[in-house]
Amino acid sequence: MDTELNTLFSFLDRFEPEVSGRSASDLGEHLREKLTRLASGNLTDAERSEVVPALLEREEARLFLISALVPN
Amino acid sequence: MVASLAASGYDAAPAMSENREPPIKFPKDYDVARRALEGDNEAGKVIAMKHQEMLVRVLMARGVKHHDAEDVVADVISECFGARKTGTAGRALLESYEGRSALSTWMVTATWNRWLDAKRRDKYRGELPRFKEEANAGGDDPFERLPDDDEKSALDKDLESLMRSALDAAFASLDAEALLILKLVYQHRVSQELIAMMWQSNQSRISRTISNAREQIRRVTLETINERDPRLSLQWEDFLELCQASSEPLF
Repeated sequence: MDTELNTLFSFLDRFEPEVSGRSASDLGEHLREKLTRLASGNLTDAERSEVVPALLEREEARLFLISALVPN
Repeated sequence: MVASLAASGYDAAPAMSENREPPIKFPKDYDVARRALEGDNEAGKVIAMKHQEMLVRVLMARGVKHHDAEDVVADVISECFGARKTGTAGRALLESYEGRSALSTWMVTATWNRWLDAKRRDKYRGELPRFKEEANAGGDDPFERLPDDDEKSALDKDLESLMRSALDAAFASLDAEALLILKLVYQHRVSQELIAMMWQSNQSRISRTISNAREQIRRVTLETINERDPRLSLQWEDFLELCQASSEPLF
């Protein structure tokens, strides 16, 4: 793990707003289906490019992706 | 943080031993420090001019009031070239600099440790039992008070917001997928192996993406800071030190 990047993210985390608390159901069926496929490595490059903006903007999308990636 | 500062600098660092030649990673900085110690006024002036304002800002970024910061920095700079007020009499502080880090980073460490020492003294004195009549004594004596919350929270918003906006600009300059990979790895602790699986790529490629992104962040951040406030003349190590300092509580 890169310590420089850890330091930078820790610094920026101080300014992050509180987690929105929105649930994965707010993501919509279409996006959730794509994220599930991304989690199993089954999205084409073009499809992945489509979901990247949502993943960057929405923490709940990232959390959904991670939960699909690592089942509880 | 405190431990790492103490380990790297001010009080504990031994003078360069004649029997030991530590690697000099910053030969130019080391050279200017040596020349200053040998009495080269120009070198001394360069060190003082280059660091004074930056060090004040570093302290203010941690909640130190402006006049206190100026006092501490003035003390540290003068002790760089002369005897210390306490401790090893007759030894210039700069003797401890071995060129293993940038001189500015070393100065930040020395100055911060000096401030911490002063605050510890304040705290100890502030915790002494007080007589009733002393409670009305005004508390103007700095040794009669504990560091208060207002002091701690009085961050130098200018510096902090400059750092933040420079970092924001650096992250915004990244390719969207690279930024997402960084977020997944560093904010959500997803392994590079899993990222590679999702991206149908291999780990070394993901690792390269991260490494390139880090270089870009470093470059754009410093460019942005130097563009907006050239007086700071921050080096990357200083910036990281400031980020760390700002992310941790005083005590």
